[in-house]
Formats: sequence, structure tokens, C-alpha cells
Amino acid sequence: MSWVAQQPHIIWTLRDGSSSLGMIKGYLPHGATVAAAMSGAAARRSLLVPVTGCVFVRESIIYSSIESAPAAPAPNANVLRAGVLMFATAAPGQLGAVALPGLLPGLLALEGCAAGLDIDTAHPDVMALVAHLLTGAYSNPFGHELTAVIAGYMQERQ
Amino acid sequence: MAFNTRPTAQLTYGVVDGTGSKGTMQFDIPYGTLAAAALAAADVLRPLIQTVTGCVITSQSISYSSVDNNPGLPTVDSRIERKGVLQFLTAAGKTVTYSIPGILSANVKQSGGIDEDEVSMALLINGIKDVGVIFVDSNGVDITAYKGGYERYRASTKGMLPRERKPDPDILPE
Repeated sequence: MSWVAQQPHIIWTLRDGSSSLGMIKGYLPHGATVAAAMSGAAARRSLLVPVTGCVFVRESIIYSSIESAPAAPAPNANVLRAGVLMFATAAPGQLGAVALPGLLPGLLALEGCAAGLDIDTAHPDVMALVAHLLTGAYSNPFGHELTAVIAGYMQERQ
Repeated sequence: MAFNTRPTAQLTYGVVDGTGSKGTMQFDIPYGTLAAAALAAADVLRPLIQTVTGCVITSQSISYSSVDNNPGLPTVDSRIERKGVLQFLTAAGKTVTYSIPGILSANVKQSGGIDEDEVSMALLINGIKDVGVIFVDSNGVDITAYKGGYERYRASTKGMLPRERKPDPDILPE
């Protein structure tokens, strides 16, 4: 198992007169910060706008990596079976959700009316994951920090 | 017309399960998180996920986006199928190609070549050659020289075709 960082890149998304979307991709040097990349992107966008009749609707700075030598997955891992963890957030009344495709069946509750459906949040492996998600590094899509797990259940997808 | 950052960056993992099927999982990270801190958190999260899912994580990306929620109108006859292809050389002699959708005809010569003397095109070419944060090749080598450019057309995908291509129900035989 070895993770290899790819070249960071920027993708601009453009819309033309028929509402079709196109894109322009450019690479950034390793170590480019988001702030520097966004600043550079704005400067370069101002040069691109005059040469195209399309409008710029989105720009994304992307840091990607790949596993060059992946291990074998567990034979019973199944991405169609997803565990969902629900979180309270720092904003009252706002929730956060994390979906985990392939959650192992051994992490489901064994007792009670929701046995086989609810995630056993007291399981050490689940607790370790939840503890990391509550370190302040993660949020819901509105930027509200995850503060406590309030529920966990299994859902099946087609 | 102003770009606004999204509230969060997206950490996305690509996973493979025991049957070889692929899936993705996504986490939101507050936008103000430094990329280095987000990458460090992602390194910690990966093994924790692999423990609870049994899937293998094969790829990871962290995406910081900003969007223009009120963009202006594109030129009426602009079409992304019409591309301006610009080619550059890096300091290592490698060719780098950029494709600019909807290139304006004012930037294209009658021959189909890119008019690098046109003011806005000259500014863009110089901007790409400049040493800066954006625009290096896929190995991180700086771009140093303009090689050439031309116009090309890409085939429209089904999704790009207009609705009007479908027959008018009024003229269909009963």
C-alpha cells in the first residue's frame, strides 16, 4: 500500500450560449496553497474570459492521490450496503450525515428492536472512526462542525 | 458576477468492494481548513474507514470550489464544441496542450490557426508562460514557451443537442 500524490490541478467550468458545459484544466505546482491557487486562478481567469464567448460558472482546486498498490478488499465488503451516521453540529437544529458504503455487517447492533439495522456506535472500530470525525476537522455541507453522533443505521442501495 | 467560495471543501474517497464494484464516499471539511491540514486528516481517516467497511480505498481527492451564482450571459452563438487549442513547451521540452471552449472567432485566423497577435490572446499566452501558481505541466515543470495554436471542433454529445431535434408531436402521423 503506497499513496502517491498527483499534481494538484484546477478545473474551470464554463457555460456556452446553448447552456452546455465545458471545462479548462490546468496543473499547479506541488505545495500550492488554496489561497495562492485561488488568487492565481482569479488572475488567470481574467485573461481567459476575453478569449471565449462562454461564461465561467465554477472553479475548483483539487488535490488528489491514488493508491499505487491496493490491498485486496474483504470478501464480504459490499458498496451497495451503506452505513449512515447522523451527527449533531455546532449549529442548533442542523444535522450532518456521513455515508459509509460497504459497512461490515459485524458492526450492526445485535440486540433490541433495531438489531441488524442500527450501527453499534459502541463498537471500538466505530468509536475510533467517530472520535476522529469529531476532532473539528469535519462539518456538514454548510460548514457547521460535527459535534456528536446521534444515530447510525444501515441502508441498502440498488 | 462574482465568485463565492462554497462553505466546505469536499474530501472524496474512491473505494472498491469484495465484488470489484466501485463506490465513493464524501466528507465535508470547513472551507477555511488549510489543504495541508485536510490532507493530514484524510491520512488518519483512511485506515479508520477501511477498518469499518472492508473496502479498499483506491483514490482520494480534496476539492475546494468557488462558484458564480449570478454569471453574466454567454455570447449567444458560443459553443463549447468549438475549441481553441493552445500548445506550449515546458522548461524540460515537453508539450502541454490547453483546450479553451467557445473560442471567439476574433482570436482565430482565416487559416484556422490561433491569432497570437490579437491583444487578448497575446495577454493570455504571456499569462500562461509567466512563472506563477497556475499553469505548470502534469509533472510540475514550468511552462516557458508558446508553440502554436489552432481551432478544432469536437462532436456534440447527446446531452449537448437541443430539444428541438425531437419531432414536433403535431406533425407525427396518428
